[in-house]
Amino acid sequence: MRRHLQSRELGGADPLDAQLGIPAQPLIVRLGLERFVPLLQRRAAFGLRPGIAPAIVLVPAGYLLGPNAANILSIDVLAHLQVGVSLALALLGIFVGRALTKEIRRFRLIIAGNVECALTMAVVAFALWFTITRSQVPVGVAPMLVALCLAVTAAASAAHGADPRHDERARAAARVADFDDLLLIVAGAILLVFIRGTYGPVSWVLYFAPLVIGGVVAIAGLLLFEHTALESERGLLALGAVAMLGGASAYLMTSSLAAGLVAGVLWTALPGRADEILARDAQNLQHPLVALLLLTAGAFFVPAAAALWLLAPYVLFRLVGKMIGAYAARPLLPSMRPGDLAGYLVPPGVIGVGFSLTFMLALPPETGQIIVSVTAAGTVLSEVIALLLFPAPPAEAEAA
Amino acid sequence: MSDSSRSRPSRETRLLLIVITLSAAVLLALSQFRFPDAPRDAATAGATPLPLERLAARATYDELATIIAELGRRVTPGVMVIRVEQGGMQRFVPALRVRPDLLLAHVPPDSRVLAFAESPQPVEIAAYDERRELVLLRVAADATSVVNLRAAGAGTSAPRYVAAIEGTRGGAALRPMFLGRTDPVRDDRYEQGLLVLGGVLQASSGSLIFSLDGSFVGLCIIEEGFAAGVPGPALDAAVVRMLQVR
Repeated sequence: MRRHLQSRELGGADPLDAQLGIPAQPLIVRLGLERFVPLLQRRAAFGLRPGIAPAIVLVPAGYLLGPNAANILSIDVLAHLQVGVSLALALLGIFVGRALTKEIRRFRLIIAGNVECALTMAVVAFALWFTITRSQVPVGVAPMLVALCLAVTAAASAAHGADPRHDERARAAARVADFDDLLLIVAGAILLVFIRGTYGPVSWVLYFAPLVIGGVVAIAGLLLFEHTALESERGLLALGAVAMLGGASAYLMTSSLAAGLVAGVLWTALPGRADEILARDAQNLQHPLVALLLLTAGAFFVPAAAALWLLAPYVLFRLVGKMIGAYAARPLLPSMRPGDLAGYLVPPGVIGVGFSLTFMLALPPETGQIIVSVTAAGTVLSEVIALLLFPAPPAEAEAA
Repeated sequence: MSDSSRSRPSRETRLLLIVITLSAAVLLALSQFRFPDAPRDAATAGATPLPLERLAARATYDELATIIAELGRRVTPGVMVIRVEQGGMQRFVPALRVRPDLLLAHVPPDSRVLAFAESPQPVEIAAYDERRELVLLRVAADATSVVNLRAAGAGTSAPRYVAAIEGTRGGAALRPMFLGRTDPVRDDRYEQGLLVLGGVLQASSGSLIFSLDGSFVGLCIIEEGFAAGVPGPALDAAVVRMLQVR
């Protein structure tokens, strides 16, 4: 029987998976429709159980519910959801930081992930900058800025794994996909300050704002969580910490992902149980927040000419970037064929969608619309392509 | 491993080179196409409002412009512009619909109302109050766009933004203004008194002042060198008197 495809990102994975156990078979499998499972089932991130919450379903659903179709997710509703988006990104950053700290000794995989990420960003940025300038696509701001924003959103991966505990290749690929998030979070945070600099002078202090926000909230959290006995009170404090990370970052227009990353690293690295407490208390929020990100991105999708014009090169050169990145990472992963690694890295990560929503708010409306539309549609197309390029299971590969 | 196999690129390398070559060719091919002209795209964008427009960070002046535009949509149906001749010069004055079939405007005695700026209908003067320099013009009835003068204003002296409606050749135009303060003063012509519009106010005589929430603040007149507003209840009382005298 074909194994269910799953995917995750940095922060999603093994430590919590071990606690949560092997997921039960979803209803769709029990109904005998397992051939559709790869299309529908994804684990978005953060050590969640795999569920029917993939971008391939939620992004189009968001569009259908959004202001351009049913208008259930109206502009006013979306305006209120921005708070949830900031919180979701902060939470995502915390789990990325937590997983990174736990696996910091895997130097080779960290370098492999960041090499792959850097090359993907470089390829996508160059290709889109070339397309925008040569075709004179009206993007509203400097073409390089748009190209870099889209490159950051394209670099995220959520690796598939038939079962990360048994398939060595999938496990290694999952780690590479996990660690590629690190560089793009840093790049995205710096890019946000650049964007802000396009409409006014920016203090250099802003580059360090995520560090300060994450550090302050982490220390406050450590002091509060450890001395709280009541579960309900602790849960409230955990939510407050996440709200503080998201709110402060949104106010300063810096990356809540990066602030969350810093807080997650500190909570895990410093003595105490803050990371475990937060992971346990925020567990119930993870799936809804990932779904929120995907639905919101879908709702903001507008099939404008400029977005559609950039969609094809975005998807194509994301794929090329992943292939080049996988090839460049080959010396660090000698047991893995670059083609297979690229196949595992094609599924897009939620972090890319999250960054597109952050960029959208920082850029002029017409530019933000292009960024979020290209990313949302590119995410869906990349998911479809990932299904076609998914490497064969080891047994089949050996037989071949 | 033989020298020949070592010198030959591996299958993965060949595959990568093919991918890079093909993608570069695709990129060059794509770059040959020019994005459709801006006007067509602008027309499309205009037909489909950008969902981000109300969410994205805006400059403060953009916000103010949006507020004024929305205010204009609400209050300008109750305003028509008349062309007035005074001392050989022509100017445009806004007239406020105070009754379904009556417009009120501030017109000095040495002036002559020539026509409506936006409408070909003839001018019919229903009443004129020389002391207060107010004229009532009869127009086709429209009960839906009558401005409520009886509602008392906010009565605040706090600094605030308001919008002045002025007459132009094309119709009514709104302009944001900052009121430093608003103080009531007694006036022989109006029992309800006037409002002294504090600060250097660049509103022309006869312009109509509305608060940003759409309520009528007053009719601007220049009184002994300073700008004053005739509040709505005072104007309404004047209208009643003009209709009785007639």
